[in-house]
Amino acid sequence: MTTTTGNAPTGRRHPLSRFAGYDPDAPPLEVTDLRVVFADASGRPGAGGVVVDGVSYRTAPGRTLAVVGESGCGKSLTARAVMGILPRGARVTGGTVRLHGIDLLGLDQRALAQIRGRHLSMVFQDALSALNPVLPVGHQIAEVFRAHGDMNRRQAQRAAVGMLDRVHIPEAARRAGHYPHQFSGGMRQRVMIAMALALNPEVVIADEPTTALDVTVQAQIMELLADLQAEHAVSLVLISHDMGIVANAADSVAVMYAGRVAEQAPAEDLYRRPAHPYTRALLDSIPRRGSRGRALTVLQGSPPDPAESTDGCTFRPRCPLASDACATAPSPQAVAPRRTSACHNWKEVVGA
Amino acid sequence: MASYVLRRILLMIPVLLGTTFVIYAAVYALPGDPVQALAGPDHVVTPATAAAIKEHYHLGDPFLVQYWHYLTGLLHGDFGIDLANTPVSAIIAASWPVTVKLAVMTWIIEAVAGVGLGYLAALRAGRLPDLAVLGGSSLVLGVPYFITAYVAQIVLGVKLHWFPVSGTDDGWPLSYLVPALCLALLGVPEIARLTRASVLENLGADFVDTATAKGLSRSRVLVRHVLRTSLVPVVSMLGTNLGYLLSGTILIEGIFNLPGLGFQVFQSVQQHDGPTVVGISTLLVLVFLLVNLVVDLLYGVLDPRIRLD
Amino acid sequence: MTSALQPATPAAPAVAAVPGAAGPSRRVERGTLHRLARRPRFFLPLAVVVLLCAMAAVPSAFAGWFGHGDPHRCSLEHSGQGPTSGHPFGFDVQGCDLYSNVVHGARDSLGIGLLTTALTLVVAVVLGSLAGYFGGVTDMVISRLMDVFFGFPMLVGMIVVLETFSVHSILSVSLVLALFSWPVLTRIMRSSVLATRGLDYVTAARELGAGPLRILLRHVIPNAIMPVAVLTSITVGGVITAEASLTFIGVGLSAPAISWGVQLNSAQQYFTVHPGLLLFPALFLSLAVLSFVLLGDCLRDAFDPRLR
Repeated sequence: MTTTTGNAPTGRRHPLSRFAGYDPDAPPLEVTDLRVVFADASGRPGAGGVVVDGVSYRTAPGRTLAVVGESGCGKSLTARAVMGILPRGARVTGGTVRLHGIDLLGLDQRALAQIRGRHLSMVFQDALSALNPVLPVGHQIAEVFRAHGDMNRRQAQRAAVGMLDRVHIPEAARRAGHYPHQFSGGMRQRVMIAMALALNPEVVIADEPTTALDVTVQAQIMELLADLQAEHAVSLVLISHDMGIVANAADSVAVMYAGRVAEQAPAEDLYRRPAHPYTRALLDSIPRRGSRGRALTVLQGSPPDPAESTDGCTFRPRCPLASDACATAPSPQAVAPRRTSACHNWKEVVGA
Repeated sequence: MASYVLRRILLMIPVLLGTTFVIYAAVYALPGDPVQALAGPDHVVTPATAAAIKEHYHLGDPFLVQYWHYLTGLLHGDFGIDLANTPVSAIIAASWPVTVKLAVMTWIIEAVAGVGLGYLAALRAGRLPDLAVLGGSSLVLGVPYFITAYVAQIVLGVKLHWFPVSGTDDGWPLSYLVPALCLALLGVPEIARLTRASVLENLGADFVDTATAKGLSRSRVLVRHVLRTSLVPVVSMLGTNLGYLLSGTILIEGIFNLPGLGFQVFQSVQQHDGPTVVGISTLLVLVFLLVNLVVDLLYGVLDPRIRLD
Repeated sequence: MTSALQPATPAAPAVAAVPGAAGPSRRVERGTLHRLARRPRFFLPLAVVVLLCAMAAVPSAFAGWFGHGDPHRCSLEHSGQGPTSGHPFGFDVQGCDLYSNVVHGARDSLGIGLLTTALTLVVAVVLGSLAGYFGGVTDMVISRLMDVFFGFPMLVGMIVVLETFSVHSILSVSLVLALFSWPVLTRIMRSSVLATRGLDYVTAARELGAGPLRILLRHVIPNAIMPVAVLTSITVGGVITAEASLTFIGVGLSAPAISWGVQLNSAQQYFTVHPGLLLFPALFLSLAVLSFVLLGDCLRDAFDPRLR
């Protein structure tokens, strides 16, 4: 069962074509040199610590880009900046976000609302708090259809039940009338996914979609996401701190550290031969078969405080390869085609 | 939901017994002559009235029997007899419509103004409208409302002639407007503050980001998600506030000469007609309990989470 | 700066009265007090409260500023006269000096406010601690009792009980006010104790063999009392209003007591002719309630952990 409103059928103009800059061949999502700044101590928005500092990444149709890094590295804030739902006090101070060539940061709230949910949507980490506790879940899904299609209440409700069915929630028609607290964690996340994929958007951002769940449920949710993605050639941005999950799901990976992209590479290459000491450290901390009995390498220290500006490479204090060159901040260097590393000594890392 | 309703109703029974017992014990079980206590120290009670009261309240029987008679009497609408030997229920029958009109009007003003101001303050948090609402609510809470009522009566009625000074000659709604506004001053500050806090909390909630990410318009996010969710605690406060409201009718109806239940209490206190005071007060307590039960049930409808607790 | 620091001293006992509070938390509280002392929102109402308390303690020191200052030296020939020299507020219907009456009224009004609040606080701390700490049957009895008193529209309950009292003194009115005020603070104390009871250091003390009384007095109450303590000032304001309302209706204090409520009550019939009779006591009453409420707001914002 699929929903009634998919992408526009061929022969009709694509709904995105009414926005300036639309280019069907441009990457579904392209972030360039994005900067996000928090409020300073006196509460002036966008005058405090730099939390996202020149991040660039792009996605491909039907592919999954994983954005990984420790908590606080700016991966979620980048996503929120893309969606236009930054927390109070945070501001985008530079860079662009383009959806099929459309400059999202230049759109007014009205135009942005037409794109959000319809062409660009998000799955949040904690479905319990991300769903409204006092509205039935069916209603919350139906809202997406109501906001973007010209469905009446009945049709939207029916479409919502269809979506619940599509994410494999048993007895969808009855469950649609239930409230979020009446669902299990995994079922709630399915509801979130139903909501995000209701209109088959071009781009879906999934922010730690499985972090709050049991390991077995995690696998089911990731499988569901992959199925739905394959069905409609959705371009997925998967935000995670779990290198294990990313290894199974991602086509390409962007590793973030302290608000910057440390390394960007096709998943296979990155796992086989990391080109940044931070990536290497992350991979070393995954328990593997055969490593039983050996101590895991754990990265010492903690990421820098975004409120304090640091000169040079932000990873320098924790880096085993730090040299004098690291006193200047490295810009992304081409390691291979479609592969960059923000490290002066990347050759040493790859060679090791 | 059914078990929630049943539980709320069962929980109310001990409260009902408790409140009526407190009233009964205070009035009829205190040492001394209850007839004289009700009439007040200066009031001369004729032997006939004393006998009527004694008989009506079964004062010759053991205490618990008296209470039982009193309780079953209440259930049959018997709120006692006054010092002139007329049933209090007759006084109640004549005056309740005035109080209901005043209370409903006040409640509407409280809800609309309280929620409206609190919502406005939250959306403009830290800026002028917010500071004005916060400062204004402290000011209103600080000046006793019956003082405000007198000032309003003198200024709006006596000096400016914009509204009737007192009485119900101009009918509904004109005669009730100023009294209702003064009475609403009791509830508006608290409701505004609670709404403000609740809206502020929900504005930062994750589900608001979800709603925005779905592509809902700002106004729809604010009304359907933020305001709707924020109203849940406000509804329960509207119930608690009814207590202040019913208490307030005594002073406000007294000051503005609106012949409702509160006015009867006010008059009876001045005339030392104890049985009327107690009878009508008991009715007010029962109404308060009943409305709070309804509010509790409504709360269960608005917030599905609490039905399970 | 001195003016800002000085009023802070009388408030200090309210905080220091927490016996055996842990060192660090007390330092934090002192820091909060210093910050507070610099805010006009805090020290202006505090100054008014201190002034009114002084007025209530020694009314004669204030009443004599303009004339003889004796509220009971009246002569009917002045009945209802407006302000003249030596009598800035004029005279009431009995021909008594209104200014000295209003000054002396502070004693009864504030007296009831403070006495009732003290009674309420004691009951709330004792019953709230018992219910919260012991739970079980104790909790059930106390909680049901609270429910019963929450079942009354407050003023209505007070009117019923006061109506049957033959003596309307400061003590009896305070007792009745406290009878209907205790559940609010008790409920807060109970939940605060419930939260404290489960903390590790309480468990530790219990396992070290400390008796329940010792644990309650030394560990639980000092750490659980804050949410209730910060409501003291607001409660005083509320009680003063309630007393004035009851007395105004006619079931509260009665002459020869001279609270502001009594003055308002006797002004009822004359206010259209002599608005001053209503105005001046009302002004003092409002000023007092407003100061207590504003001060309470400020303390609550600063100290209530739930609002941080």
